Amino acid sequence: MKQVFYTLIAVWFLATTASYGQTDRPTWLKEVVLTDVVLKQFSPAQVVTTIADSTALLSASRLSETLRYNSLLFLRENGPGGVASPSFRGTTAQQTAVVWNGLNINSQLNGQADMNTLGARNYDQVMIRRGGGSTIYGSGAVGGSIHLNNTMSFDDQFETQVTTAAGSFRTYALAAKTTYATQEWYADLGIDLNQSANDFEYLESPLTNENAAFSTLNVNTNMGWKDPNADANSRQSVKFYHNSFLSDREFSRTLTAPSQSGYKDAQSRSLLAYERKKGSATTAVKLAHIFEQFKFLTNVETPENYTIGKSTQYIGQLHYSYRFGAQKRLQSILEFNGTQAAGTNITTAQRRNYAGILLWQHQPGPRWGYTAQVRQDINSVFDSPFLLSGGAFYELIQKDDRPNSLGYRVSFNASRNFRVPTFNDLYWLGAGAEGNLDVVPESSWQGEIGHTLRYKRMRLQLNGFLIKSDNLINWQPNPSGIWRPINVAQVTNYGLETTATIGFDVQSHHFDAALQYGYTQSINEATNKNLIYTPMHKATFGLQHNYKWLRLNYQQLVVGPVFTTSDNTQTLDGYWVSNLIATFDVLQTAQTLSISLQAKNIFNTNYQTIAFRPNPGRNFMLQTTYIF
Amino acid sequence: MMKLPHLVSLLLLSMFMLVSCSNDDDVLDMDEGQEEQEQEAPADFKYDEGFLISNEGPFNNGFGSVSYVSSDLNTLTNDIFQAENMSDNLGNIVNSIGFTDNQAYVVSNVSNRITVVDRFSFVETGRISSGLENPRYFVALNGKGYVTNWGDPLVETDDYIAVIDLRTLNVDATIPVGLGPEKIVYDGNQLYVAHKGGFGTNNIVTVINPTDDTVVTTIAVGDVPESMALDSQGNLWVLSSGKPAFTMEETGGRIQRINTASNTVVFSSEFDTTSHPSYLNIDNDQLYFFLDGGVYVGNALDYLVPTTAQLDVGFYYNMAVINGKLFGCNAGDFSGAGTLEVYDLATNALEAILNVGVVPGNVYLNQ
Repeated sequence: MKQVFYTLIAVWFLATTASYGQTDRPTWLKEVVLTDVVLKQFSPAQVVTTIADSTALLSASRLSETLRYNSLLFLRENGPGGVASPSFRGTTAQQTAVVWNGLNINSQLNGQADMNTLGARNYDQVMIRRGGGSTIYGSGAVGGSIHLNNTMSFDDQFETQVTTAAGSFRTYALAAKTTYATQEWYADLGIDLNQSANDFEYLESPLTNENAAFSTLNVNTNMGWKDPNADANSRQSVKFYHNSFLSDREFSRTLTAPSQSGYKDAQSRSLLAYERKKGSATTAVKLAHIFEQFKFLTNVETPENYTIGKSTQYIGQLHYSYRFGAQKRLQSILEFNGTQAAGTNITTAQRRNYAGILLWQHQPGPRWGYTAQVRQDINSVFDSPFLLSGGAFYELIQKDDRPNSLGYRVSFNASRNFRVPTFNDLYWLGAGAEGNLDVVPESSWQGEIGHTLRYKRMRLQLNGFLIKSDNLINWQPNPSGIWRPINVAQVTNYGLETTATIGFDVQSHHFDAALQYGYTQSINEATNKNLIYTPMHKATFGLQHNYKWLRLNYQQLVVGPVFTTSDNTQTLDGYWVSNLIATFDVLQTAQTLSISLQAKNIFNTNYQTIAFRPNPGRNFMLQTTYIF
Repeated sequence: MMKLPHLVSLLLLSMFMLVSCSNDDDVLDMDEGQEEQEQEAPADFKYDEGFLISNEGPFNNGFGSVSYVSSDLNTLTNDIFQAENMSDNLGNIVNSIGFTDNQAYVVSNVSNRITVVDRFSFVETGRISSGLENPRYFVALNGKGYVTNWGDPLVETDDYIAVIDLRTLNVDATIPVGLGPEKIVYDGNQLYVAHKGGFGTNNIVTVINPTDDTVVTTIAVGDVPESMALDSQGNLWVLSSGKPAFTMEETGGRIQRINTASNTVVFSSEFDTTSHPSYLNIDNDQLYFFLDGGVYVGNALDYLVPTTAQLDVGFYYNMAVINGKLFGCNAGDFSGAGTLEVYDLATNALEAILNVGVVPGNVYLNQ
């Protein structure tokens, strides 16, 4: 891996130094051209938070870190770099959809997406959409969805950015991305390499984090063509998105047991989209291929001994949308998904899924709008529920252009969502466990009410939600001791979320602050106990200070205690963790160079996100980003 | 049966945390306030005259524990190792316990460790933490300890018996054996190792001569020999569960008797292909086993295949029959505390339901 690392560095510099000094200094927030237009248009009544800020995305190599400090998502991470599964609102990782340029990329094998296989630097924009979204995004969009978007800007540019980082525990990163674009063409190519020995000392323990090294490689390329003769009434474009990921990770020890095991992932996803707009009608065809492979090694010293699981998906989508004047829009999506999975514990299995989706949006006046959505899936293996979703917003007080104007919006959303059985749930065959072809999708009903207050550069949001999930898939031993999944649990989740942001200036000092707090209850109806690893309290606080060439960021994370046993007799303590990041813009000409010094866990807190897996104490990283 | 935790860690690794759901959270308390009735006992013999229960602990992380219950079932103490050893713990997945007259050897599977304690005070006296790889069961004789080890569960050829000098606690020798050695029994003369097969399946019993620690012979038995017991005549009974359906070559279980003088199978009783019995126990020459939620009884000296269950109990993770009592390990949903259900086998009466640790796996008489 190390040699590959250096070779790639060399190749990168050879390939890119020729492009020296071609463009203007970049702006981080360019005109956003999303593939996933549906996200914005059909979520008027839900909270969608965007992390497009360069500091947030660039400073963390791992998406898990970005999300932990910038959202109310809870992440169960098997130590830094290990499998990290996200969840919203007290739901499970399988009930959290990860959507890559509009495509649901949750694993077909285990139903969840590992946030540490998704590099934060690969995306121009990360959006977090709370609440149900299965009508649009399919299985798993129950608690919420995480959207990873690449954007294409058709403006003349040719630039390269190179990020290098080195930090504690022999952690190194190299990321490079070259973008070339004209009014007609767009292309980018990016590589992101991360590696770490990750051998930090456990605080208040003689042990160190053994067998924890990891290295990951992400390769991204996106290309696009836009009809240069486009006008307001007619335009067309072709876009191609690709991301490949390879990892080699050791599975670290815990406080109570050593480990020799490890795992290797290989993932690839490609999307080709053609879009044509003529008059009020827009047609799009999307074709996608998604591959995932997971190897588990019982001993990293003998990598020839492993168990493996893999799946391949072919997806075709036909979109048709029609605008009735400026206020009404109807969109239909037909989707075909053919998936095949195989592995040590899955004899080759396939399934086909057809989905029909109808989305309606109407904004009768400037103060209010609503959306109504339906979806039906037809699957070759199981029956899927009919899904629907409706939402509305109303501006009780309409904000105008006056400086002291106040805005107050209320919104309402209700939906029925689902999470389908995975290939493991259906087809697993292994020592002492077997899949069950009789399991049906988990389904849920949910509702939420939101309030948004805006005043000057202040924004206050308050959301209350209720989710009732039925038929939760649970693996249990049958009377012969064979573990099988069955639809058994009923869970009720409810809670409150508040988000407050404020921006203000003191002379040439710019300040931005954001505070988020979530209160969540997640109750198993049968036992009246809380689900394990669902914190009742989570809060994040971020403060950014910009002054000319200096940016200072303070991040505060607060997570309350969680239960670690289903009978709620054992608890894992909550924790407060703080980071401080200082970024210096050393060069601000046609080329830019910024140097960022990151101090993480500055108060040296000893904390665990999963019981008996300690996290590192105070640690540092130095990062430089050079753009030319 | 005890391979489940390991398997489940794997499962969990790929499936991750499952939604928790307990099917028996409303535990019957047969004798309210039993935990308060703790009697004064001499400090050194705190855990004498009763039973020890090994609890594997949570699957992925954390540690297992040992519970103690007095012979009359009135005094229950959980986490006795932590209590006596300044909150230290026994390590991940406490699989089983082996004994000498005074010591207990607690085998922690994932931690690759054996913790040695005084069996009556449970104060730690030593630790074996090298030379073990996926240790399963321990038996002691003549100053030596024998531990079955799977090695790397994905490698079929590295399985072995570790031979420990109980004075130095060093692994002095290893005896390579076939795939998946599990339970180990000493009949006073030779050691018998049942090869359940680890992550795969196997169908042999290895016989070891403890005087020179060599393999005497291997005896072919049914598929997946899962438990063994000796009767009063010195015969070794072996229960094989048969290959489960997922192997695509399902076979039925077998109960077999081995003549330990000739090391040959002299009796074999076969179940039909889809029946997979487990948890063989012999108590007072009554032979007990578990099948599909029922406990069956036969006479070890005059064995007739039992056709109906003496007790219907639901799924047990393991069971032990000691002095006419059935101890059923109910692991519940495997992620919260389990229970130990105690029946009087003379009357089939449920005597107690004890709230023990997470995933109770084995019960031992301690006196």
